[in-house]
Amino acid sequence: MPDSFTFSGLRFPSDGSVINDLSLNVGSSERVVLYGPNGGGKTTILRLIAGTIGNAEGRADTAYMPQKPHMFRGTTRTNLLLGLVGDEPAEAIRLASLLGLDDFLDADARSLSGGQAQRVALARTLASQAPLVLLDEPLAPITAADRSDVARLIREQTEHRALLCVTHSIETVVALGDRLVIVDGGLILQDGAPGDVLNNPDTDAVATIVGVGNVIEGTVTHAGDGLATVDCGPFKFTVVTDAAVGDTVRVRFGAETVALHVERPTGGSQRNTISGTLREVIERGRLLEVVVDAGVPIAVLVTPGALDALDAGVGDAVWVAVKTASMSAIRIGP
Amino acid sequence: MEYLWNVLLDAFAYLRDFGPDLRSIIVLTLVVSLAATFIGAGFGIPFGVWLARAKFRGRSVVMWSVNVGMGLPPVLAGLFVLLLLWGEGPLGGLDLLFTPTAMIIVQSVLAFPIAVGVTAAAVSSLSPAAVEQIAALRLPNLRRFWLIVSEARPGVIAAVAAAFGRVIAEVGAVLIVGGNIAGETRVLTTAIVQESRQARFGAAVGLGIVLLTLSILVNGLLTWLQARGTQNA
Repeated sequence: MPDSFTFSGLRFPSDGSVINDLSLNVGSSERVVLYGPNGGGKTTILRLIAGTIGNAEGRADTAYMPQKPHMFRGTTRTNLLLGLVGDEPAEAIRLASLLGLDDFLDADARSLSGGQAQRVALARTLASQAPLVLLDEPLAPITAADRSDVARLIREQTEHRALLCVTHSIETVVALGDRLVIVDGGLILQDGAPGDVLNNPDTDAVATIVGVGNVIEGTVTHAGDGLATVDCGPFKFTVVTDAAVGDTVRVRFGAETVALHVERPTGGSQRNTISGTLREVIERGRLLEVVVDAGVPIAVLVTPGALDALDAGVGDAVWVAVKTASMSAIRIGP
Repeated sequence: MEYLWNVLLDAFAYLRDFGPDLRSIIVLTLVVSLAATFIGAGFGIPFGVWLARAKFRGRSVVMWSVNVGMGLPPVLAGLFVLLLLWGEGPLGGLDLLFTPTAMIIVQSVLAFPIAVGVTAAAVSSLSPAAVEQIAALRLPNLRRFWLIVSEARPGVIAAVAAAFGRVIAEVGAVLIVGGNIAGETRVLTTAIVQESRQARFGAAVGLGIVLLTLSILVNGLLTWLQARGTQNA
């Protein structure tokens, strides 16, 4: 297996009006998420790599799940096993079972709901042993309550191979991405670790697309009543999650949901108050992004007036407060 | 009115006296029509699937030719095959003229573009999601072909029905290359022409009833297959 998959000179259509000479490298066991607005060219990139459009010469060995799952004539089982060989069919049945499809295997595949069809396509795609898995919006048709479990299954199944995933949902980015590539207008605008990109967009264009946000990874040290204490190293915080002690979770909260204080806040409803040092102030349109170093960087969006009133500058000790309710946690590993 | 009534009575009398002559006409009609449909569709369906999916320069010219072929006047096809098989023609040495084989050849030539055109239209109208998924699956080419045919089954069966319909109704081309020789190359359509010319209208209508019955039966089978394809699975 190669160390990485390199795609260069991607172009579509022949005049390059959607994608023009784009290059992308995906490590052989890396999970990369392409994120961007609709119509930005993400799906086209995935299709070019899958070889379903454009010149399919030199097509990589991929397992590709298109955005809109299509069920062919026949039973769910027939559809589930299409194109699978060797040990793959047994694996597909196992994955289908984990995805709750046991009762539907002998049903007419065309009677399945959109979400069920998506699970069939997902089980089939993940059961394939292709070294590069391509998924287009894998979590979109999945019920919100099940997304975390399905995301974990995808992560498990792509532990030792490459995943390239397309989405316009930040939730999917946080759940699946080890690397985030921002795509719009057929161009790669930024490429990096999800936390870095969301926390520190290179340009206003990226900030507009992703919003300014925070992604912090940590380990659950205490859990109960649907709440968990997460230790991310420099500090601990409380989030709403079903994760158990020992689980790894990724927590995302928007920079606009974080309050900035110059003294330790008391008496408020926020559960999470974290101390740090004001490191940087970046203009984001009419707002300011304040980066606080709390051991890990935390982005805070404030109005210029609010920052003036606080009278805080670079190097000052500050506190940030985040409401537990505004933090969403996704379990990514045991 | 009485005249038409008498023709009909004569027709039933003709059918009642069903003899070996009529049997050989029916058998030859079925053999030639089914063989030609089989050959024309056997080549036409794969070509239609390929044509619907292929991207190449000149594709529209090929589609145009197929459409012309679908409306090709049978007598021209007959004339063309006649010239090929004629004693001094390029295939004259095969000595096939005025044999059932010659009739099957010309009928296959007529069935082929219909099978291609209707199949290509059916495959082209598969949903974009189906097309994308077919391309995405890791399938060997033959499996991929069967998946496409299965997915476009109602349309592909329509292609077979249209090809069969053209072939069994055809008279000009088989007359030219078959010669309507009694007991050898006479089929229902050419027999009807023969009987009509000789003003034996009872026999002509009797043969017409048989022809219509065969067509109803074969199309009934195809329609049943098509309906199965649409409803279930």
